[in-house]
Amino acid sequence: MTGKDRLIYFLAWSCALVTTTVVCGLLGFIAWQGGAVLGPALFFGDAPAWPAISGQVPVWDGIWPACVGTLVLVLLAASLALPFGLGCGLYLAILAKGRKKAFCSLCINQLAGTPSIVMGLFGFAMILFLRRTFVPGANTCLLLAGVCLAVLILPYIVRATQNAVEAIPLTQRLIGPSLGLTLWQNMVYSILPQASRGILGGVILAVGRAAEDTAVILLTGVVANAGLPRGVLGPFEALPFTIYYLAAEYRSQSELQTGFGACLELLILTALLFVSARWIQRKIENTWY
Amino acid sequence: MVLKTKKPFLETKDLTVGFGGQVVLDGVSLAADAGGIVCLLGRSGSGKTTFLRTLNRLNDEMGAVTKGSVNLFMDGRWCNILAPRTDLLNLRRKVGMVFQTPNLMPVSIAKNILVPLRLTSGLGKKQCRARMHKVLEQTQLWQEVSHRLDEPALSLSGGQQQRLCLARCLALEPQILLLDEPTASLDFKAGRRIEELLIHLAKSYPMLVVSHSPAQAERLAQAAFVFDSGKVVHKLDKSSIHRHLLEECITGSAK
Repeated sequence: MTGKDRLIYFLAWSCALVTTTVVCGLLGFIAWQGGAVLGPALFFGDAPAWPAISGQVPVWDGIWPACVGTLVLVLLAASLALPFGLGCGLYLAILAKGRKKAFCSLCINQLAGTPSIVMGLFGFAMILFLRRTFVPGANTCLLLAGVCLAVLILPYIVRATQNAVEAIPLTQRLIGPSLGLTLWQNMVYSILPQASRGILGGVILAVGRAAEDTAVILLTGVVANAGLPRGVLGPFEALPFTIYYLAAEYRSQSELQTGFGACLELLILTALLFVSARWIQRKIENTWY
Repeated sequence: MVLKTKKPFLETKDLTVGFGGQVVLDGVSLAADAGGIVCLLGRSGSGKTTFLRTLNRLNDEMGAVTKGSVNLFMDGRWCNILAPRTDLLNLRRKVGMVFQTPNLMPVSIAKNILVPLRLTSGLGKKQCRARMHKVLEQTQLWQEVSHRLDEPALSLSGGQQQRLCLARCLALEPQILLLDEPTASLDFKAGRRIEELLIHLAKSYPMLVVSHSPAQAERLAQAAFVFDSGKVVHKLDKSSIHRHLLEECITGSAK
């Protein structure tokens, strides 16, 4: 090994070590702080567990409504963003050419660079506009937050889909056309299964982004102590917002501990979402046909 | 179906293909007969593959501009495949293609044949299975894979994968076969096996094979066309196809 080779080896090795140490340190700290309070009391406070889970008894001191709120919010945002993201990514990778492609790419880049607070403000302004014009009764709600979050995570899915499809080698991409499959059959039975792993990466990023974002929901319908979400047109609680206000306004050490518990729970929730996304992708890869 | 008499199946006139202003094929006129393998030879970049991909209009997928005329004999009549109203899906099902490197889907051996077949033919499950059996026999794969049809296709050896590609293409009951350097990615033994298979299949299908090797052309071809810079520079028939002459044609030293 030459001196430069050794330097690269050392740098690569130490960068990997630093990253791993930071991630493990962070996870360890949250697990240590939050793990202490992890239990039924963290989720339901003084309320009995089963009636609280089913929503018969309101939960005042627990994070259960926030867990459910975040889960519903993420699923809503992902299911809104996924079809559009896949379609747009396929369009950019296969159908778009020249100026149309350049313009569409520019829009996606612009969207990816939009701060989430701006997206929240956009949602808030939209509700104000609706109240003054067509729907006087409109209010910030779960649906509005879901839509705004979907727009926020759209670029992740678009870019992941586009990159994954463009990374398929030419002869693999030509399987469908050379066998006389229609455009639809080619997309569904050849292109998407071959790109599914890359797309999954984008979906994981998007789900993580939707689960953690506080700025958007702050302006579009999250309410402390709203309880379990009653419907898509009502207010809701969410874990990142719970963490945010507990950390900012805690009055006792136990409230801060609850905040750490909520952090841990948010991590567990997103990890579960990643695992299920991977599971769905494997199912698609194996039994698509 | 056995092709006994030499009947023409391909005729091109002034075929010119360009990609974004770059001319790849420049006024190619040729005619080829069924009943034996027709080889296309030439150096890299001479336009052999582009010519092959003109015959199932696959160049269209890559934004090619094609001019001239290409006629193929299918369904008992001559079809001008560059006509604007050509049904591309039907054309590509009738003109089967095998690529230089095996391009299978990362699913099971059976699904690689059954899925395109089901999608394009509308046959029932039983009929599809029967057709799969038939084409695996035809490509001499049945003995080797019949006990592991549900295993991943990518677990097969290179030669087996290439034969599976051929089987996938035969399952759609094509009328013409195009093979783009089918043995280029294989070792000597697997390559010879494919060659034997092609000689056998050429009795039933009009066949065009792009080859990089004069020795292979000598073994396979009943007619050969040598390409250079997008033009056909030599046409040879069975009696004049010899390794050394072909080498001279390709390097440009032949008259």
